[in-house]
Amino acid sequence: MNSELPIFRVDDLAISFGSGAQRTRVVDGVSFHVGRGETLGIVGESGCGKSVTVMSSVGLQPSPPSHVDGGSARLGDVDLLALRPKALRRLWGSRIGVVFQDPMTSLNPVFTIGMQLREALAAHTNLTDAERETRIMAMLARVGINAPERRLRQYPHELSGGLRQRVLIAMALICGPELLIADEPTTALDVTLQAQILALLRDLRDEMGMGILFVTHDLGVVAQFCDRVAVMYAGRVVESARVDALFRAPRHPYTHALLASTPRLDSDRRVPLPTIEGMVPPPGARGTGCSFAARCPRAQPICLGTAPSLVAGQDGAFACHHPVPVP
Amino acid sequence: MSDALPLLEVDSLVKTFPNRNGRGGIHALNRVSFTQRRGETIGIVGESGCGKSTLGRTILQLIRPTSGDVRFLGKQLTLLPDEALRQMRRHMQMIFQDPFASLDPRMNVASLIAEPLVIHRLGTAAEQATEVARLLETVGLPAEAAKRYPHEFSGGQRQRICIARALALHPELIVADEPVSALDVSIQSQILNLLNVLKRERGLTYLFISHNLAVVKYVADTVAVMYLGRIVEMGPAEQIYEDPKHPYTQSLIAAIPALQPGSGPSAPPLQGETPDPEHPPTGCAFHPRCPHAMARCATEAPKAVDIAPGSGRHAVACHLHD
Repeated sequence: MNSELPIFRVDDLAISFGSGAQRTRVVDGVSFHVGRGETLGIVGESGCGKSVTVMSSVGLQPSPPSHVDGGSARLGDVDLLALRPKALRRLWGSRIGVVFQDPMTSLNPVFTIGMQLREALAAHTNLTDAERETRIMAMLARVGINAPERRLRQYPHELSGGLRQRVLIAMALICGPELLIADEPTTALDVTLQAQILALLRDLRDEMGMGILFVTHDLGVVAQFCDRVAVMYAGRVVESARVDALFRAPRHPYTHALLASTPRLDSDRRVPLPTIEGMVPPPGARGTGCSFAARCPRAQPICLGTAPSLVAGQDGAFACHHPVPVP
Repeated sequence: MSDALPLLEVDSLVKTFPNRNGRGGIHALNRVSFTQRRGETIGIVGESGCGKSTLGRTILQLIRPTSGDVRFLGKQLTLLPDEALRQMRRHMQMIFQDPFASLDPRMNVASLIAEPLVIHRLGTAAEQATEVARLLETVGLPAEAAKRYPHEFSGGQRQRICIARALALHPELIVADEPVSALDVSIQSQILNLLNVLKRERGLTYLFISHNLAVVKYVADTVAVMYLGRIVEMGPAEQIYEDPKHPYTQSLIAAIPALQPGSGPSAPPLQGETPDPEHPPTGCAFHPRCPHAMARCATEAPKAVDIAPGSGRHAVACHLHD
């Protein structure tokens, strides 16, 4: 995986919600990059800002209510945050593909699968009708949809959840994007179906060479599917690393606690599961120190007063004054 | 507490939901049978549409079964008239997945927790207030929570309120339907620990329904795996996880993404999707997706066979094992 030449690079992104006195910073100083053929996982719990970060970085987060307060998001040499809506729309579907969590709400219920795929292609290419049909058939077959001629005439509600997610993947990839945004793409699926969809996405990535930005709350999926991972907490990246390093030796106490509190097939049920006491501070009440300090077993006085910045370590980067020692 | 008499006996439970045109129907439960000892936690696992939630609700008679028996505390629940059933409900309570939808937003926490006591006319108002305070402490909520409303609490705290409410009547059996699925991992572990503590301290019996096998591993003594309305394998948790016998159980466990990068799935992913329950496959319902399917699997439905002879504790419905 070549991560020296990122195809997508986000630097110092800051996002707020609301207006006037209610305006609150929800994402602050977030940076990450994705290389060709590489999968970067953005992982965190509800409200950590993972979806807002990713959607804002490609201009898909509606504004208002959200506002990008600063930072850049470069796809190749284009800063997406500086583009006008019309120019952005030309990139969505062509250079950037998106797969969302819920395939039912991302497909239009009143158009057939065929109409939606043809529209996606017609908007971004100059293919003839015949070329378009060939490409659609090939793509549907590639994502594992049998009897594609019949599927083209069907409406989204006539397909199973697994087939709908395959259609969405076909639609996201049919123009050969450089970057695929996948926001919890398997969260609504059963575990056996999730395994099928992840295997498909991995094969397609290796064939087509796109970079994948994979948003998830599931650490198991990160371990199995991503090359690198950025862990978010309360609107910031608290740790980023290659997955093998992160799972072997998490440095940030939040990452450590999150991994420890996840039930595993080999966990001993006689021992209580480690927990993270307390709650995530709401945006606007995050204070000047480390946002995790109030819940952190390693917190020292400095943690309450000064927010740690993300510093590069041997295998990644973490934002912590008192990191967990490497075992 | 005697181990000899089961607390719950489910015998050939069938639930068919009629479809719109009145012909045929969806076989949500297909002759489900098992027994549960007092103090035993049974985990019911399976994927969407396998019938696990219907099973929980049918046992509590929230949905009346099409046929079959449920015997609880020696009483045949399926034969009980509504009023007698209401009395039995004191002994069997339910916790739901969504703590946002299962609490009335207009009631404060004290009234929510006291409501079961009020309905069953247990105690004076003062006694009920004392009990509410005790229950709040039991589930780890501060006493001042009593005066607040559900919207003031996070998902994990709301699930604690639901648990306090379920405990109010000192039930024997709690059916927990995906009780931690809507919660974040760090909160999920708090609730699982609480459920384990309550079980120990109050001698509770749980029927724990979940799609998450790693969560079930953490609470269950016994695991039942369901596929398309049937229990395909049931046995002691250690045996189910360490040496699963049914090909579906094997695929289900292999499909869980492990927390070790590079470990990869222990088996190739299962192909296809769960068939339409209105038109289930002939023979063994799993045969179209089964890597080991044989000719007879398509024609003959396998019966549950005890594979630990004599113990009656590990049963598999698969032609590979009969």
